[in-house]
Amino acid sequence: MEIKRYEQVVLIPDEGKYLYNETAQVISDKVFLGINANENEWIEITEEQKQEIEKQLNEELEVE
Amino acid sequence: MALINKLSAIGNAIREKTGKTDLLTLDQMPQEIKGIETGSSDNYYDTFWNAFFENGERTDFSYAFYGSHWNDEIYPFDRTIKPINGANLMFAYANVSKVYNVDLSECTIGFSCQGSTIKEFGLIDCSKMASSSFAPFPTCRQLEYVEKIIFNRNIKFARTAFSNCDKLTHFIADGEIGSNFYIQYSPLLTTESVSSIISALIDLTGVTGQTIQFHANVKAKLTETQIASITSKNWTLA
Repeated sequence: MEIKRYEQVVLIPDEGKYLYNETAQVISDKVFLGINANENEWIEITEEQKQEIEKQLNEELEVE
Repeated sequence: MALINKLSAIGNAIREKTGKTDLLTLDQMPQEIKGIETGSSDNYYDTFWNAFFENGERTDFSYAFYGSHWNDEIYPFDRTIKPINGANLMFAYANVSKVYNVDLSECTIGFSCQGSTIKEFGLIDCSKMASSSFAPFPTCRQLEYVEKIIFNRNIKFARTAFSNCDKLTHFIADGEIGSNFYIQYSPLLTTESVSSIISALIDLTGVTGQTIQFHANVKAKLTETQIASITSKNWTLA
C-alpha cells in the first residue's frame, strides 16, 4: 500500500484581485498548486491589470 | 426538314453527349436522354470527388474545407478523409455542422476547425500528432459534442485550443495530456467529460509541473478527490 502525504497549497487572492501566471498565460480566481509547483510563479493582479492582460491575450482569439 | 432528318439530328445530339456511336432506335432515345440528365455511373459527383481526393492518394488536407462556402449540402459526408501530413486549418470557417468521417490516426501535423460552425465531431485520434501549438477548436461557438480526442504527451496546446467553446458539453479525453491544458471557456462540461480529462493528465511528479485551467463553474464542482488527483500528479489547477 502506498501512502502519499503532502500539503495542498491553495492560492487565494485578496478580495477584488486575481492570480496571474505569465508562463502559463492563465488568470484565475483560485489556484490549487501542483505538489511540486512554485507559488512564486503566480502574482496578484488588480481588476484593471486583469482587463489589460485579457485584452492582450484575447488578441490571439481574433479571427483572421 | 423531313421527320427522318429531325430524328437523325436528335440521335446525333444524343450520341455527341453520351459518346456512344451505335445507332439509336426511337425507343432507346428517352432512356439515353435520361442518362444524360442524371449523369452516367461515373457521374460528375464521383468525378469531382475522385479528383479532389486524388483518387485516394491525397494525404495533405490543409485548408481542404476552409471557408464558409463549405456547408452541409456540399461537404462529402460519404467519404472517409484521412489526412497524414497536413490538416492545418482543415475546417476553418466552414459551415458544416457534423463531422464524423475524418480519420486522423496517421496524421502527424496539427489540425484545426477554427471559427467553424461545427456542432458535433467524431473521434479525433492525435496519437501520432506532433504539435507545438495545438488548437483544434478555437472560436467554435457552436461546438457541443466531441466524441473523443486521443492525445499524446508530446502535444503542446495553444491557449486558444477550445476558445469560446461555451456550448461544449461532451468531450471525452483519452491517451495522455502532458502539457498546459486550457478548457477555460466551457462551463457545461459533463461530469464524465471532466473525469476523463483528469484521468488523461500524466503524472509529472519529479518533473516540471503543468497547469490545467477549467472554467470557474467546472472548477467549483470538482470534488476534493478530483482536486487531489490533479495536484498529486504535479498539475496546478487554475
